[in-house]
Amino acid sequence: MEAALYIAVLGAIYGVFYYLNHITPKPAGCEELTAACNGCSLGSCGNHPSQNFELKETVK
Amino acid sequence: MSDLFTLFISALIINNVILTKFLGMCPLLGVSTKSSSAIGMGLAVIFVIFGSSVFTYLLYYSVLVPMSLEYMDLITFILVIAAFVQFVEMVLKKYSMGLYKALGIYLPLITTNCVVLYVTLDNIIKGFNFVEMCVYSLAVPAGFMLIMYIFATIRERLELANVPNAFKGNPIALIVVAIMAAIFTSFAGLV
Amino acid sequence: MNKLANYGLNLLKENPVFGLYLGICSTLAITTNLNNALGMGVSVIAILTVSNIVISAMRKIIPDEIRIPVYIVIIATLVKSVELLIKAYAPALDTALGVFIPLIVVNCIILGRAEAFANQNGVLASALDGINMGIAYTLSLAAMSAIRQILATGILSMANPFTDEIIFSINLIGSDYVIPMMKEPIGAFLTFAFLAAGVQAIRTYEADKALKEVK
Repeated sequence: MEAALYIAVLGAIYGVFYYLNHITPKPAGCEELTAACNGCSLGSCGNHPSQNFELKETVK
Repeated sequence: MSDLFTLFISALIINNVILTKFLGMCPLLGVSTKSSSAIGMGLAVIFVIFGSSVFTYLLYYSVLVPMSLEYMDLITFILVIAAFVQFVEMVLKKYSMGLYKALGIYLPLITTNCVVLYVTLDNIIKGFNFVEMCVYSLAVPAGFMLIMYIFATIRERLELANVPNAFKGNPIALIVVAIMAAIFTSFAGLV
Repeated sequence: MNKLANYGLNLLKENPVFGLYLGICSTLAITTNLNNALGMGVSVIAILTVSNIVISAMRKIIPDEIRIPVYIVIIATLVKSVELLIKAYAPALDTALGVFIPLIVVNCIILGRAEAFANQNGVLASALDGINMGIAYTLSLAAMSAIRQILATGILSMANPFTDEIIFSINLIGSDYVIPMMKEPIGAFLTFAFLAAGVQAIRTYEADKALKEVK
Protein backbone atom coordinates (compact mmCIF):
# COMPACT_ATOMS: atom_id res chain seq x y z
CA MET A 1 0.00 0.00 0.00
CA GLU A 2 2.89 2.31 0.70
CA ALA A 3 3.89 1.86 -2.94
CA ALA A 4 0.71 3.56 -4.15
CA LEU A 5 1.18 6.35 -1.61
CA TYR A 6 4.77 6.76 -2.73
CA ILE A 7 3.79 7.08 -6.41
CA ALA A 8 1.10 9.58 -5.45
CA VAL A 9 3.67 11.72 -3.61
CA LEU A 10 6.06 11.65 -6.54
CA GLY A 11 3.28 12.42 -8.97
CA ALA A 12 2.23 15.35 -6.80
CA ILE A 13 5.80 16.71 -6.79
CA TYR A 14 5.84 16.43 -10.58
CA GLY A 15 2.47 18.17 -10.76
CA VAL A 16 3.70 21.06 -8.62
CA PHE A 17 6.81 21.58 -10.73
CA TYR A 18 4.82 21.27 -13.96
CA TYR A 19 2.35 23.88 -12.76
CA LEU A 20 5.09 26.28 -11.67
CA ASN A 21 6.79 25.85 -15.03
CA HIS A 22 3.53 26.42 -16.85
CA ILE A 23 2.85 29.77 -15.20
CA THR A 24 6.31 31.32 -15.56
CA PRO A 25 6.41 33.29 -18.81
CA LYS A 26 9.20 32.92 -21.26
CA PRO A 27 11.84 35.67 -21.12
CA ALA A 28 11.50 38.58 -23.52
CA GLY A 29 12.70 37.73 -27.01
CA CYS A 30 12.34 34.02 -26.51
CA GLU A 31 8.79 33.67 -27.72
CA GLU A 32 9.57 32.08 -31.05
CA LEU A 33 12.36 29.62 -30.39
CA THR A 34 12.45 26.30 -32.07
CA ALA A 35 15.08 23.63 -32.08
CA ALA A 36 17.02 23.37 -35.32
CA CYS A 37 16.23 19.72 -35.73
CA ASN A 38 14.66 17.81 -38.57
CA GLY A 39 12.10 16.02 -36.45
CA CYS A 40 13.53 12.79 -35.06
CA SER A 41 11.33 9.95 -34.02
CA LEU A 42 10.88 10.99 -30.39
CA GLY A 43 7.15 11.59 -30.32
CA SER A 44 7.05 13.30 -26.97
CA CYS A 45 9.34 16.17 -27.99
CA GLY A 46 7.64 19.52 -28.28
CA ASN A 47 8.99 19.98 -31.79
CA HIS A 48 7.59 16.78 -33.23
CA PRO A 49 5.00 17.29 -35.99
CA SER A 50 2.46 15.31 -34.01
CA GLN A 51 2.30 17.96 -31.32
CA ASN A 52 0.36 20.45 -33.49
CA PHE A 53 2.56 23.49 -33.07
CA GLU A 54 2.53 26.41 -35.46
CA LEU A 55 5.57 27.06 -37.56
CA LYS A 56 8.07 29.28 -35.85
CA GLU A 57 11.21 30.76 -37.26
CA THR A 58 14.53 29.49 -36.04
CA VAL A 59 16.61 31.66 -33.79
CA LYS A 60 19.93 32.71 -35.30
CA MET B 1 42.17 9.20 -7.55
CA SER B 2 43.48 7.20 -10.47
CA ASP B 3 40.41 4.94 -10.23
CA LEU B 4 38.22 7.95 -10.73
CA PHE B 5 40.31 9.07 -13.67
CA THR B 6 40.09 5.61 -15.23
CA LEU B 7 36.33 5.64 -14.72
CA PHE B 8 36.07 9.05 -16.34
CA ILE B 9 38.15 8.22 -19.40
CA SER B 10 36.56 4.85 -19.93
CA ALA B 11 33.03 6.26 -19.78
CA LEU B 12 33.99 9.19 -21.98
CA ILE B 13 35.74 7.53 -24.93
CA ILE B 14 36.50 3.86 -24.43
CA ASN B 15 32.98 2.67 -23.63
CA ASN B 16 31.31 5.61 -25.28
CA VAL B 17 27.57 5.54 -24.76
CA ILE B 18 26.66 6.05 -28.42
CA LEU B 19 29.36 4.07 -30.17
CA THR B 20 29.55 1.02 -27.94
CA LYS B 21 26.23 0.95 -26.13
CA PHE B 22 24.03 2.29 -28.95
CA LEU B 23 22.00 4.60 -26.72
CA GLY B 24 20.91 8.08 -27.71
CA MET B 25 20.63 7.25 -31.41
CA CYS B 26 17.30 9.02 -31.86
CA PRO B 27 18.57 12.51 -30.93
CA LEU B 28 21.82 11.79 -32.75
CA LEU B 29 20.05 11.32 -36.08
CA GLY B 30 17.50 14.04 -35.41
CA VAL B 31 19.32 16.98 -33.86
CA SER B 32 22.74 16.69 -35.41
CA THR B 33 22.19 18.67 -38.58
CA LYS B 34 23.76 21.86 -37.24
CA SER B 35 26.76 21.93 -34.95
CA SER B 36 25.39 24.76 -32.80
CA SER B 37 22.27 22.80 -31.98
CA ALA B 38 24.44 19.77 -31.19
CA ILE B 39 26.28 21.78 -28.52
CA GLY B 40 23.04 23.13 -27.08
CA MET B 41 21.54 19.66 -26.85
CA GLY B 42 24.75 18.26 -25.37
CA LEU B 43 24.92 20.84 -22.59
CA ALA B 44 21.28 20.30 -21.73
CA VAL B 45 21.85 16.54 -21.53
CA ILE B 46 24.90 16.95 -19.25
CA PHE B 47 22.94 19.17 -16.92
CA VAL B 48 19.86 16.96 -16.75
CA ILE B 49 21.79 13.71 -16.34
CA PHE B 50 23.99 15.04 -13.55
CA GLY B 51 21.11 16.54 -11.60
CA SER B 52 18.73 13.63 -11.95
CA SER B 53 21.51 11.09 -11.18
CA VAL B 54 22.20 12.79 -7.87
CA PHE B 55 18.53 12.92 -6.94
CA THR B 56 17.66 9.39 -8.02
CA TYR B 57 20.75 7.99 -6.27
CA LEU B 58 19.85 9.69 -3.00
CA LEU B 59 16.21 8.71 -3.35
CA TYR B 60 17.04 5.07 -4.07
CA TYR B 61 19.37 4.57 -1.14
CA SER B 62 17.50 6.61 1.44
CA VAL B 63 13.88 5.75 0.62
CA LEU B 64 13.51 2.74 -1.66
CA VAL B 65 16.01 0.39 -0.04
CA PRO B 66 14.91 0.96 3.60
CA MET B 67 11.29 0.48 2.61
CA SER B 68 12.26 -2.54 0.42
CA LEU B 69 10.51 -1.08 -2.58
CA GLU B 70 13.37 -1.74 -5.04
CA TYR B 71 10.96 -2.84 -7.74
CA MET B 72 9.63 0.72 -7.90
CA ASP B 73 12.91 2.01 -9.25
CA LEU B 74 11.78 2.41 -12.87
CA ILE B 75 8.71 4.50 -12.13
CA THR B 76 10.53 6.53 -9.47
CA PHE B 77 13.40 7.41 -11.76
CA ILE B 78 11.09 8.45 -14.57
CA LEU B 79 9.01 10.71 -12.35
CA VAL B 80 12.11 12.25 -10.79
CA ILE B 81 13.64 12.92 -14.21
CA ALA B 82 10.43 14.50 -15.49
CA ALA B 83 10.05 16.67 -12.39
CA PHE B 84 13.69 17.74 -12.55
CA VAL B 85 13.38 18.74 -16.20
CA GLN B 86 10.35 20.89 -15.43
CA PHE B 87 12.18 22.47 -12.51
CA VAL B 88 15.26 23.25 -14.59
CA GLU B 89 13.17 24.79 -17.34
CA MET B 90 11.38 27.03 -14.84
CA VAL B 91 14.65 28.16 -13.26
CA LEU B 92 16.15 28.94 -16.66
CA LYS B 93 13.11 30.91 -17.72
CA LYS B 94 13.26 33.06 -14.61
CA TYR B 95 16.93 33.65 -14.16
CA SER B 96 18.91 33.17 -17.33
CA MET B 97 17.65 34.20 -20.72
CA GLY B 98 20.91 33.34 -22.45
CA LEU B 99 20.94 29.79 -21.18
CA TYR B 100 17.25 29.37 -21.95
CA LYS B 101 17.85 30.45 -25.52
CA ALA B 102 20.73 28.03 -25.87
CA LEU B 103 19.33 24.93 -24.24
CA GLY B 104 15.81 25.48 -23.00
CA ILE B 105 14.17 24.19 -26.14
CA TYR B 106 15.90 20.84 -25.90
CA LEU B 107 14.80 20.17 -22.34
CA PRO B 108 11.40 18.55 -23.05
CA LEU B 109 13.18 16.31 -25.54
CA ILE B 110 15.38 14.86 -22.85
CA THR B 111 12.66 13.47 -20.63
CA THR B 112 12.29 10.35 -22.75
CA ASN B 113 15.90 10.06 -23.77
CA CYS B 114 17.46 6.60 -23.45
CA VAL B 115 20.72 7.99 -22.08
CA VAL B 116 19.18 9.65 -19.02
CA LEU B 117 17.34 6.54 -17.89
CA TYR B 118 20.37 4.37 -18.69
CA VAL B 119 22.72 6.42 -16.48
CA THR B 120 20.30 6.49 -13.56
CA LEU B 121 19.77 2.72 -13.77
CA ASP B 122 23.46 2.01 -14.27
CA ASN B 123 24.50 3.90 -11.14
CA ILE B 124 22.46 1.39 -9.15
CA ILE B 125 23.46 -1.71 -11.11
CA LYS B 126 27.17 -0.95 -10.89
CA GLY B 127 26.95 -0.13 -7.17
CA PHE B 128 28.91 3.10 -7.18
CA ASN B 129 29.52 5.23 -4.13
CA PHE B 130 28.59 8.90 -4.27
CA VAL B 131 31.83 10.29 -5.75
CA GLU B 132 32.07 7.57 -8.39
CA MET B 133 28.46 8.22 -9.29
CA CYS B 134 29.15 11.93 -9.83
CA VAL B 135 32.17 11.22 -12.03
CA TYR B 136 30.30 8.63 -14.08
CA SER B 137 27.25 10.79 -14.61
CA LEU B 138 29.42 13.64 -15.85
CA ALA B 139 31.54 11.48 -18.14
CA VAL B 140 28.76 9.66 -19.98
CA PRO B 141 26.87 12.77 -21.22
CA ALA B 142 30.17 14.46 -22.02
CA GLY B 143 30.93 11.53 -24.31
CA PHE B 144 27.47 11.89 -25.81
CA MET B 145 28.06 15.57 -26.52
CA LEU B 146 31.49 14.87 -28.01
CA ILE B 147 30.15 12.36 -30.50
CA MET B 148 27.16 14.52 -31.37
CA TYR B 149 29.38 17.50 -32.08
CA ILE B 150 31.84 15.55 -34.25
CA PHE B 151 28.95 13.93 -36.07
CA ALA B 152 27.22 17.27 -36.68
CA THR B 153 30.32 18.77 -38.24
CA ILE B 154 30.68 15.76 -40.53
CA ARG B 155 27.02 15.88 -41.43
CA GLU B 156 27.19 19.51 -42.43
CA ARG B 157 29.77 18.53 -45.04
CA LEU B 158 27.77 15.46 -46.05
CA GLU B 159 24.90 17.67 -47.18
CA LEU B 160 27.07 18.93 -50.03
CA ALA B 161 28.33 15.53 -51.14
CA ASN B 162 27.03 13.44 -54.01
CA VAL B 163 25.26 10.60 -52.21
CA PRO B 164 23.31 7.87 -54.07
CA ASN B 165 19.56 8.24 -53.78
CA ALA B 166 19.01 5.15 -51.67
CA PHE B 167 21.52 6.34 -49.09
CA LYS B 168 20.51 9.98 -48.77
CA GLY B 169 19.76 11.16 -45.29
CA ASN B 170 19.95 8.62 -42.49
CA PRO B 171 21.59 5.56 -44.12
CA ILE B 172 24.77 7.41 -45.08
CA ALA B 173 24.79 9.01 -41.63
CA LEU B 174 24.73 5.53 -40.11
CA ILE B 175 27.69 4.48 -42.22
CA VAL B 176 29.57 7.51 -40.90
CA VAL B 177 28.72 6.39 -37.35
CA ALA B 178 29.99 2.89 -38.22
CA ILE B 179 33.35 4.32 -39.26
CA MET B 180 33.50 6.43 -36.10
CA ALA B 181 32.75 3.32 -34.02
CA ALA B 182 35.60 1.47 -35.69
CA ILE B 183 37.97 4.39 -35.03
CA PHE B 184 36.99 4.69 -31.38
CA THR B 185 37.69 1.01 -30.71
CA SER B 186 41.34 1.93 -31.16
CA PHE B 187 41.17 3.59 -27.73
CA ALA B 188 40.62 0.24 -26.08
CA GLY B 189 44.09 -0.10 -24.58
CA LEU B 190 44.31 3.47 -23.27
CA VAL B 191 43.94 2.90 -19.53
CA MET C 1 -1.99 -14.75 -51.96
CA ASN C 2 -2.19 -11.18 -53.17
CA LYS C 3 -3.20 -10.01 -49.72
CA LEU C 4 -0.15 -11.65 -48.20
CA ALA C 5 2.10 -10.08 -50.81
CA ASN C 6 0.47 -6.74 -50.13
CA TYR C 7 1.00 -7.17 -46.41
CA GLY C 8 4.64 -8.06 -46.98
CA LEU C 9 5.18 -5.02 -49.18
CA ASN C 10 3.54 -2.78 -46.61
CA LEU C 11 5.82 -4.23 -43.99
CA LEU C 12 8.77 -3.10 -46.09
CA LYS C 13 7.49 0.34 -46.91
CA GLU C 14 6.12 1.38 -43.53
CA ASN C 15 8.73 -0.45 -41.51
CA PRO C 16 8.95 1.12 -38.04
CA VAL C 17 12.63 0.30 -37.64
CA PHE C 18 14.21 0.81 -41.05
CA GLY C 19 11.71 3.23 -42.53
CA LEU C 20 10.69 5.44 -39.62
CA TYR C 21 13.81 4.92 -37.44
CA LEU C 22 11.86 4.19 -34.27
CA GLY C 23 13.45 2.13 -31.54
CA ILE C 24 16.88 1.90 -33.13
CA CYS C 25 18.77 1.89 -29.82
CA SER C 26 17.58 -1.57 -28.88
CA THR C 27 17.73 -2.84 -32.47
CA LEU C 28 21.43 -2.13 -32.79
CA ALA C 29 22.35 -3.43 -29.37
CA ILE C 30 20.72 -6.82 -29.05
CA THR C 31 20.63 -8.26 -32.56
CA THR C 32 23.74 -10.38 -32.14
CA ASN C 33 21.78 -13.57 -32.30
CA LEU C 34 18.31 -14.80 -33.17
CA ASN C 35 17.30 -15.72 -29.61
CA ASN C 36 17.72 -12.21 -28.29
CA ALA C 37 15.85 -10.74 -31.22
CA LEU C 38 12.85 -13.03 -30.79
CA GLY C 39 12.82 -12.59 -27.02
CA MET C 40 12.88 -8.81 -27.29
CA GLY C 41 10.34 -8.87 -30.11
CA VAL C 42 7.84 -10.92 -28.15
CA SER C 43 8.21 -8.68 -25.09
CA VAL C 44 7.64 -5.59 -27.22
CA ILE C 45 4.55 -7.12 -28.86
CA ALA C 46 3.08 -7.87 -25.43
CA ILE C 47 3.87 -4.46 -23.95
CA LEU C 48 2.80 -2.54 -27.04
CA THR C 49 -0.56 -4.30 -27.31
CA VAL C 50 -1.45 -3.99 -23.63
CA SER C 51 -0.31 -0.37 -23.40
CA ASN C 52 -2.29 0.52 -26.54
CA ILE C 53 -5.39 -1.08 -25.04
CA VAL C 54 -5.00 0.67 -21.68
CA ILE C 55 -4.22 4.09 -23.15
CA SER C 56 -7.03 3.81 -25.65
CA ALA C 57 -9.47 2.84 -22.91
CA MET C 58 -8.40 5.82 -20.80
CA ARG C 59 -8.06 8.35 -23.57
CA LYS C 60 -11.14 10.36 -22.62
CA ILE C 61 -10.14 10.92 -19.00
CA ILE C 62 -6.48 11.86 -19.33
CA PRO C 63 -6.04 15.66 -19.55
CA ASP C 64 -4.15 16.78 -22.58
CA GLU C 65 -1.21 18.63 -21.02
CA ILE C 66 0.09 15.87 -18.80
CA ARG C 67 -0.56 12.96 -21.11
CA ILE C 68 3.10 12.16 -21.79
CA PRO C 69 4.08 11.47 -18.16
CA VAL C 70 0.87 9.50 -17.61
CA TYR C 71 1.61 7.33 -20.65
CA ILE C 72 5.16 6.80 -19.44
CA VAL C 73 4.00 5.70 -15.98
CA ILE C 74 1.55 3.22 -17.51
CA ILE C 75 4.23 1.83 -19.81
CA ALA C 76 6.74 1.69 -16.94
CA THR C 77 4.40 -0.45 -14.85
CA LEU C 78 3.95 -2.88 -17.75
CA VAL C 79 7.68 -3.00 -18.48
CA LYS C 80 8.55 -3.69 -14.85
CA SER C 81 6.06 -6.58 -14.73
CA VAL C 82 7.47 -8.07 -17.94
CA GLU C 83 11.01 -7.64 -16.60
CA LEU C 84 10.20 -9.47 -13.38
CA LEU C 85 8.54 -12.27 -15.37
CA ILE C 86 11.57 -12.62 -17.63
CA LYS C 87 13.92 -12.65 -14.64
CA ALA C 88 11.86 -15.44 -13.11
CA TYR C 89 11.09 -17.68 -16.07
CA ALA C 90 13.79 -17.05 -18.70
CA PRO C 91 16.97 -15.94 -16.91
CA ALA C 92 19.17 -16.62 -19.95
CA LEU C 93 17.22 -13.99 -21.85
CA ASP C 94 17.66 -11.58 -18.96
CA THR C 95 21.45 -11.86 -18.97
CA ALA C 96 21.54 -11.48 -22.75
CA LEU C 97 19.27 -8.45 -22.98
CA GLY C 98 20.56 -6.82 -19.83
CA VAL C 99 19.60 -3.21 -19.28
CA PHE C 100 17.59 -3.06 -22.51
CA ILE C 101 14.49 -4.55 -20.95
CA PRO C 102 13.94 -1.56 -18.63
CA LEU C 103 14.86 0.69 -21.55
CA ILE C 104 11.78 -0.53 -23.44
CA VAL C 105 10.03 2.19 -21.41
CA VAL C 106 11.63 4.92 -23.49
CA ASN C 107 11.47 2.91 -26.70
CA CYS C 108 10.19 5.32 -29.31
CA ILE C 109 7.84 2.77 -30.87
CA ILE C 110 5.63 2.34 -27.82
CA LEU C 111 5.35 6.00 -26.95
CA GLY C 112 5.08 6.95 -30.61
CA ARG C 113 2.16 4.59 -31.28
CA ALA C 114 0.45 5.73 -28.09
CA GLU C 115 0.74 9.32 -29.25
CA ALA C 116 -0.15 8.79 -32.86
CA PHE C 117 -2.80 6.10 -32.71
CA ALA C 118 -4.01 4.96 -29.32
CA ASN C 119 -5.17 8.30 -28.03
CA GLN C 120 -7.44 8.87 -30.98
CA ASN C 121 -8.88 5.46 -31.84
CA GLY C 122 -10.97 2.78 -30.17
CA VAL C 123 -9.73 -0.14 -28.10
CA LEU C 124 -9.96 -2.89 -30.72
CA ALA C 125 -8.30 -0.83 -33.46
CA SER C 126 -5.48 0.14 -31.09
CA ALA C 127 -4.93 -3.47 -30.06
CA LEU C 128 -4.71 -4.59 -33.69
CA ASP C 129 -2.34 -1.74 -34.46
CA GLY C 130 -0.18 -2.74 -31.51
CA ILE C 131 0.03 -6.35 -32.70
CA ASN C 132 0.78 -5.21 -36.24
CA MET C 133 3.59 -2.88 -35.25
CA GLY C 134 4.98 -5.46 -32.86
CA ILE C 135 5.09 -8.13 -35.57
CA ALA C 136 6.79 -5.71 -37.98
CA TYR C 137 9.35 -4.86 -35.30
CA THR C 138 10.01 -8.52 -34.49
CA LEU C 139 10.45 -9.46 -38.14
CA SER C 140 12.86 -6.57 -38.69
CA LEU C 141 14.88 -7.57 -35.64
CA ALA C 142 14.89 -11.21 -36.75
CA ALA C 143 16.11 -10.28 -40.25
CA MET C 144 18.93 -8.12 -38.92
CA SER C 145 20.03 -10.62 -36.29
CA ALA C 146 19.94 -13.51 -38.77
CA ILE C 147 22.26 -11.60 -41.09
CA ARG C 148 24.63 -10.65 -38.28
CA GLN C 149 24.69 -14.09 -36.72
CA ILE C 150 25.29 -15.92 -40.01
CA LEU C 151 28.07 -13.57 -41.07
CA ALA C 152 29.75 -13.47 -37.67
CA THR C 153 29.63 -17.10 -36.61
CA GLY C 154 28.44 -19.06 -39.63
CA ILE C 155 25.79 -20.78 -37.54
CA LEU C 156 22.09 -19.98 -37.41
CA SER C 157 20.75 -21.35 -34.16
CA MET C 158 17.88 -20.89 -31.78
CA ALA C 159 17.45 -22.13 -28.23
CA ASN C 160 14.40 -22.40 -26.04
CA PRO C 161 14.60 -19.43 -23.64
CA PHE C 162 12.79 -21.24 -20.82
CA THR C 163 14.82 -24.45 -20.79
CA ASP C 164 18.03 -23.54 -22.66
CA GLU C 165 17.84 -26.50 -25.01
CA ILE C 166 18.79 -25.93 -28.63
CA ILE C 167 15.91 -26.06 -31.09
CA PHE C 168 17.94 -25.99 -34.28
CA SER C 169 21.45 -25.13 -35.31
CA ILE C 170 22.39 -24.90 -38.97
CA ASN C 171 25.96 -24.41 -40.07
CA LEU C 172 25.82 -22.21 -43.16
CA ILE C 173 29.32 -20.81 -43.67
CA GLY C 174 32.54 -22.65 -42.89
CA SER C 175 34.41 -21.32 -39.89
CA ASP C 176 37.31 -20.13 -42.05
CA TYR C 177 35.14 -17.60 -43.83
CA VAL C 178 33.30 -15.86 -41.02
CA ILE C 179 33.54 -12.11 -40.37
CA PRO C 180 33.78 -11.59 -36.59
CA MET C 181 33.50 -7.83 -37.14
CA MET C 182 29.75 -8.28 -37.48
CA LYS C 183 29.44 -8.92 -33.77
CA GLU C 184 31.06 -5.58 -32.99
CA PRO C 185 29.28 -2.20 -33.02
CA ILE C 186 30.62 -1.44 -36.48
CA GLY C 187 28.88 -4.52 -37.85
CA ALA C 188 25.63 -3.43 -36.26
CA PHE C 189 25.77 0.04 -37.78
CA LEU C 190 26.74 -1.25 -41.21
CA THR C 191 23.99 -3.88 -41.36
CA PHE C 192 21.44 -1.36 -40.20
CA ALA C 193 22.62 1.23 -42.74
CA PHE C 194 22.34 -1.20 -45.64
CA LEU C 195 18.92 -2.48 -44.63
CA ALA C 196 17.70 1.10 -44.18
CA ALA C 197 19.10 2.01 -47.58
CA GLY C 198 17.24 -0.97 -49.07
CA VAL C 199 13.95 0.18 -47.58
CA GLN C 200 14.59 3.73 -48.74
CA ALA C 201 15.34 2.48 -52.26
CA ILE C 202 12.01 0.64 -52.34
CA ARG C 203 10.24 3.73 -51.13
CA THR C 204 11.79 6.08 -53.70
CA TYR C 205 11.03 3.55 -56.44
CA GLU C 206 7.38 3.45 -55.43
CA ALA C 207 7.26 7.24 -55.16
CA ASP C 208 8.76 7.68 -58.62
CA LYS C 209 6.34 5.14 -60.05
CA ALA C 210 3.39 6.98 -58.50
CA LEU C 211 4.71 10.28 -59.83
CA LYS C 212 5.02 8.84 -63.36
CA GLU C 213 1.44 7.54 -63.24
CA VAL C 214 0.17 10.98 -62.33
CA LYS C 215 1.86 12.61 -65.29
